[in-house]
Amino acid sequence: MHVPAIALDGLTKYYGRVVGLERLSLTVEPGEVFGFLGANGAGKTTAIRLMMDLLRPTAGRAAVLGFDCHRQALEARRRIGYLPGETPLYPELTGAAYLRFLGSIGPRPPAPARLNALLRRFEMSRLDLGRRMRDYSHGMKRKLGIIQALMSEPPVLILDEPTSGLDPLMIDAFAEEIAELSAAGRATVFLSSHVLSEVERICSRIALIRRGSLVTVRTLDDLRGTQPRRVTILFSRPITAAIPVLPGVTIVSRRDREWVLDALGPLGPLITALAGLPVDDIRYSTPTLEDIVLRLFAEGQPC
Amino acid sequence: MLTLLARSFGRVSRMWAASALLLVGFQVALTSAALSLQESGDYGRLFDAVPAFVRNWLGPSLSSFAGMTALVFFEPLVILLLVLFAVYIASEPASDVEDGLIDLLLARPLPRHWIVTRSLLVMTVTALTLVLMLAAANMASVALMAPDGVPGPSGKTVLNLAAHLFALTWCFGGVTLAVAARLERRSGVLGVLTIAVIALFLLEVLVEFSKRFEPLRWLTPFDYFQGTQILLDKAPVTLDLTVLGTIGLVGTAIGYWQFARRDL
Repeated sequence: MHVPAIALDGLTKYYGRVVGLERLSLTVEPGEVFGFLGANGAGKTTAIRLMMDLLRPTAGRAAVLGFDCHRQALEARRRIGYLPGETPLYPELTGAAYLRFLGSIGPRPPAPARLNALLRRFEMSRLDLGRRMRDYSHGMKRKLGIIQALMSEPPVLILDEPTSGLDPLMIDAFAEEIAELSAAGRATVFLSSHVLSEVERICSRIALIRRGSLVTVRTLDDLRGTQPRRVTILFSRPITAAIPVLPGVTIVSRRDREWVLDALGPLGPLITALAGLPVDDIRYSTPTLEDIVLRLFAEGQPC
Repeated sequence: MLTLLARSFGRVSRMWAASALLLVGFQVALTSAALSLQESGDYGRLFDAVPAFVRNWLGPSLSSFAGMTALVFFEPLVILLLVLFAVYIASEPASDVEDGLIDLLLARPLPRHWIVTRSLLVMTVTALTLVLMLAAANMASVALMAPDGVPGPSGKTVLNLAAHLFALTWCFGGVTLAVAARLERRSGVLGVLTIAVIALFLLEVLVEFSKRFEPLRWLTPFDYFQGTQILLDKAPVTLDLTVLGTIGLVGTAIGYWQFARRDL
């Protein structure tokens, strides 16, 4: 029987009269790197904390690898590596003691080779690990948070804004780690973020959430395919001819020597229609994830 | 669970050691004072010198070496120190939520109730060891410093006083668990409980000194620890311990119930 890594079914959470999350349904397949996008306060952390059984749903259910996140919470959490949005710490502990403590309360002690590999990847030296956590910078705390989530090699990783506070090198290291885990099929990754460039780089599929409601769930390729490319046509002399009417092509602006169009689908018909015109140059740009997300948020249409 | 307990004990070990030193020091100072009064034969004058309400309140602890050395168990400062110590320890669940550590702990396959059980055990063990240490300090200082032929408090009296002191401390610890399982800030728990402890202590003082407040006597847990009555062997020990234990148990049960169903 096929069991999704994560299944959310009508997950709803109200804080009194305030909507935290409303009827969120989605599935994440094993091995996927799934991005959960939304603005601040959109409901990302609420969804994650519901999955971790830290919050209790008003309605609906969440399951991890087939285990209900509330009724079978221990079984579900045995399979999850979790990074909270803020890295909580014991300021009086050293980094090494912190990892030892967390390793000893489960789900299983980290293999030394795995832990050492993570420490190397995230450039945590013995000296760093010997310092008390109260002396750590924000980035150091975040690195340790990521390491504690990954060190026990859980099959599902739930990471709440994992790269916040990391420098670009460490963001690279994180992206490499996630890519390796995904390529080897060793983990399903569910990560929330509002940094779109990172999500674009790391994730294969994303969900957009806005004011507690799901806007869309798509692969990045699908998402790009649904959005028009911006095509700018430059002419060598002023053009008075009408812009050809083609399916999927809309006019953005028109000047004597320049047409700006949005084109959805193959560009062949447009290029054919331009034959005979004194085209000097054609420039086109694919929309960035940021463009797409901003457009979807502006439309605000739940899927 | 052992790892969790060790972590929590580690976090309060210095406070525990400092409290233990204070209590032992207080006992040694009190035994020294009792010895001095014994040697100068001033117990009679001390008893006559204090106002009547203090005489009624502290009674036998002002009139003999045995009574004065036992005073440590029901001296208001000592009681408040121990009660507030237990309140602080039992407020740990709220602190875990406030610091976000609960996210880290419950991301592991730990049952929620372990968080309350851990704090209950740490509160119980630290309070019990402090009271036992006080009892040991009492017996040791009396054994080492008492003049020949002058008896200290009997073993039964020390045991009864220690049991009451622990029961009172544990009672407030249990109530604190109920509040700490509901609130999200340790400072909020400490604020509520400190005010409650002081208000209930004041009520006990009022009950002792004014008949007008007599009907409210049953409201304050402090009333179930009558040190002078224990010294005179007239205290309803079983009833007192049952009431204090029951309040603590109810508080603890509410704490478990609250923590199991709340959003963290």
